[in-house]
Amino acid sequence: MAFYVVYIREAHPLDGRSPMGGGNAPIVEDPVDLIERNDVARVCMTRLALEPMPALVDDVDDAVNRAYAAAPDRLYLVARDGTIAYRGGRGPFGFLPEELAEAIEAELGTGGDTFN
Amino acid sequence: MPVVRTTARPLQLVVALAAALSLTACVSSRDDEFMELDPAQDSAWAFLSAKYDADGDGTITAEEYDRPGGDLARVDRNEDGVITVADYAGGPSGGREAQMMRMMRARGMAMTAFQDDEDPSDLKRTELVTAVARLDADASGALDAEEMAGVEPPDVSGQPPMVRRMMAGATPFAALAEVADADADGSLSTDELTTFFDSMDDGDAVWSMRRPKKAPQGPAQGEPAPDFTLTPTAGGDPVTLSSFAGDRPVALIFGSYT
Repeated sequence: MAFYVVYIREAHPLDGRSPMGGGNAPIVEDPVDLIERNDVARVCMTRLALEPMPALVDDVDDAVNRAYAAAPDRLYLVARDGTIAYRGGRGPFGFLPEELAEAIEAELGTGGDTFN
Repeated sequence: MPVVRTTARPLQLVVALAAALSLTACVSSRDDEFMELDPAQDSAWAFLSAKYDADGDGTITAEEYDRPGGDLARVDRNEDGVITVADYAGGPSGGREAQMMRMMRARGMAMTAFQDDEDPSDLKRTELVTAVARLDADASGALDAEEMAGVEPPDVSGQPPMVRRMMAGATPFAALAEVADADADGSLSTDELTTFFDSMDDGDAVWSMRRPKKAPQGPAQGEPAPDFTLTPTAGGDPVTLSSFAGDRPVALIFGSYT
């Protein structure tokens, strides 16, 4: 079983259409290149104590984000055979970790290759 | 080859998913009412002035705003050609947080009220039209409070505190009416609702109001997972999704800091 955070474009950058931040919440300008987005991702993973989980960073062309229609946040499970085992709803309302947990248990319990 | 693999023992799974929850927007560190930012504390101006106000005169000019790829117009909220504290009185969107929250709440209500559950990942124009027709008991072409009285708000019991606070005590009709009832006649026409959702569609179809064939959906269950090769934040070799095929399942948690 592998877990990856895929860090995509900011949902609420300061210079975006729906900026948020201030007080204790992060203020982030929209990264202009991969290096900058990588820096933001590392800060995020540290501040949210997610570091045990590896994070991958989408390039600023947002290619993977668009392929998975992932913004602002979303959960997927890829089965052993490379197909989608679970596609969560769009965040925030569709972002339901317990659904992913059930999908993982189902995938590991029956085994992706059982019916092949 | 990937740098790190985790074994999905139950405890690690719970920890991983609890951590993933904190990636949802604005959940991690807000402990006060989001809508009541003290203008005197607006960090947005403090952030920008520290970074760009080279001569410290309280005004960031176009020359001083030397961000590569940056566009001063995107941060010049009062459109006076420069960035000053006045652009951020009341918070990072220039006092629009409360309105933004109202709009997000209305969107959340509509997602539950109008979608047909075939694809709960977004709301399409056709679903909206169908739902309005279904609820429009007097065939007036618009929905009033009584017609929407039976519509359930979304279940947010499993959502982060910010989302729960945003939805607490709201009803679908009231939440939509306060942002979408353009002519203030106490009813929501299909046109008013469509206009409202179009205004929120920021181009990547987060809540898709486009015709179905144009709306990016993401790969559905059973479809091949789009392959990618991305670099880990921690450095090291790039990770290719398809390298896991035939070996182990991969959970992908998409999100950002804001």
